[in-house]
Formats: sequence, C-alpha cells, structure tokens
Amino acid sequence: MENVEESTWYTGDWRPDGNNLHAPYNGLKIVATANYSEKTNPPTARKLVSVDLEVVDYTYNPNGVSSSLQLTKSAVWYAIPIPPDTTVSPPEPNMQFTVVGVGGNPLGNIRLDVTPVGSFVNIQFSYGPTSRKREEIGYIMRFPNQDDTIQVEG
Amino acid sequence: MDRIRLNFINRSNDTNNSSVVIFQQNVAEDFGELAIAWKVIENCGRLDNHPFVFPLLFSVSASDSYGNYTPLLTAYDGQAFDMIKSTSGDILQLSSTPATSPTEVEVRNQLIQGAINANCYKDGKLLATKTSLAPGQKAVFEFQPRIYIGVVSQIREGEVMNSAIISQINSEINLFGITSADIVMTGGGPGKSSPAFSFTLENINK
Repeated sequence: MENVEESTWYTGDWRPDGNNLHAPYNGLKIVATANYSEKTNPPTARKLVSVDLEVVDYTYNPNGVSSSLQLTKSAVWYAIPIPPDTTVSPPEPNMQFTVVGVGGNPLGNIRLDVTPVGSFVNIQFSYGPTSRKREEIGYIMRFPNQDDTIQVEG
Repeated sequence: MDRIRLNFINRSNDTNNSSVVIFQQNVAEDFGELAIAWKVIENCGRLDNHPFVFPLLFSVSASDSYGNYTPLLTAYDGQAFDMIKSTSGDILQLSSTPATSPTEVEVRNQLIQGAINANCYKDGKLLATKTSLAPGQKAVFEFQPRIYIGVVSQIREGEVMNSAIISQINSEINLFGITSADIVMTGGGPGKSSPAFSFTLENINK
C-alpha cells in the first residue's frame, strides 16, 4: 500500500505555539493517514484500503501519550486502546491517556463511514482531566474513496 | 454546501424545562474565557424537536464609539475588513490586505481615534465578539465545523457566557462534511441519581 493523504485534527484548548506550563498541557490531536491500493500497470484508480490513526493526548504529558489503531472496515466502531505504561514492570495501562468512552463504554470509539462523497472519520469519546471531561462526537475529516490523482488510461 | 440543517430532539428525562445552548469557539482566541450563546433552545418539551440551520459561513460587523453599527458583510477565510472613516462617516470595508493567516478573518480598527467592537454573526445571530479595539488593533476570528452544546439556565441568545458557565458545557459535536442531522439529547431527570445529559447524532446525511 502507498500512503497518499494525511490529515490532522485538533481539539481541546489546543495551543499551537506550545504547551501550557502545567496540566492540562495541551489538548488532543488525531493524525490520520489514508492508505490506498498499490499502483498497477496499466494505471487504475487506487481505492482507499485503510486509515491509520494516531490519537495523541497531551492532557497530563507535555510530550503527548499516543495510541494507534487502523480502520479497515466501514461502519464498524473500533475501540481506541489505552496504551501501556512501559516505565513500570509489568506494563500497566497508561493513566496519562485520558481518552475513554461515552454512555458507559469504557473505551473511546472511532469508525470509518464510507459514502459516495468520501470516507468520513467518525469519533465518539470523552477525554481530558478527570474533573473536566469533554465529550467529542461526530465527523472530523474525510478522505477520497479513491486516489483522484491517478489518471486512468483508455 | 453552505449550511447544515440540524434538528434538535429532546428525548431526555428532564423535568426542569431546561434550556439548551449552542455556541462555537473562536479558535483564534484562547478558549474558555468568554463565549457568546449563539442559539438557546427554550421550552422544548420531551419528544419535541427544534429544527434550525447552521450556516458554514459567517458575517462580520463593527460598531464604533458613537453607537453606529455597520451592515453585515459575509466573511471568507483569509479576508480582512477595515473600519475606516470615509467622507460619509465610519464604514467597514473589505481590505486590500488579506488576513495574516489564510484560515482566519480579521477586523481591523483603522480609525484615527475611537475604539470599535468587532462582531461575528451566523444566521443573523451573534456568534462572537471582540470589544474595545483601539485604533491599530484587530480582532481575529476562526471557527471550525464544531459546535458546543449543553444545558444551561437563565441564558439568552446573544449573551456573553463567562468561564464558569462555559465550563459546565462539555459536549462537542463535530459536523465536518455533514449536510443534515438530528441532535438527540438524552439523560437528565429528577433526583441525584439521574444520568448526565448526553448528545448523539442520528439521521446523518453527508
């Protein structure tokens, strides 16, 4: 697969010019990379195969705590895993990662909704300091269903 | 697509006839200090619905120290507007110098003297404001396709909400690429054990 598009979404009191001096150091960002099918010869339109996501939480860590997942199916909620804290042995769930579920779900969710006008990243989670959790739902970005830069011959 | 058709539906167990406020954050400013109650839904009983339009564009206007208000001008990302003193008086006009950032809209006080207020509007309702701009100062506005929604009391459309009120509103709905959707409110109810109000999207069209 070849990555073609990357998109980044920010939320929270995001400070692009640097972190706060204390927690919450910053907000949350999601970096999404769309993966399209490989090039063919003769060239054909490359279809969206998957979306790689990195959810980075800067609430309690100025360097951000990262959780990764890959979306390969449409209309399926994928849980956002809580990354391990590898500074302890054995590793434990990293409590600096504040992204959890809503409506009683323990984990936050993300899914890909494929439509004729594109594939949308749909989120459903809460995050932030324990005393001030914020809920985020809805659609944050869109990727083309196929790589429109490819010129189909014939 | 220049607008999103939204429909608020009350499926909550609220028994306090609570009002629901919707506002946006000006991401060009630090969040949490002040915000304007863009829309307040009142007296929406259980199972009632309240349709409304959420424009993607906004308009800007300015008012001067003489109590004058300029007409609303549609603003596009990257544009800047200057309040100047013309032969007819104070007017707001599109500037030949664009905004510093292509994602922001600026309203500049180019008067020789006198402060101005810079205001943003959506669907004719006040969305954001920056007051007391001295000559040479400017207001910067940028909005993402996201609304904040929550239950409040004693708030009217157009009122300024302080940080204490804003901190009570913790639901953010992202509307990227949506053309229409229902915003459904659940939860609430009498008693301390009642669940918190929650908001979900249904009947989404893109």
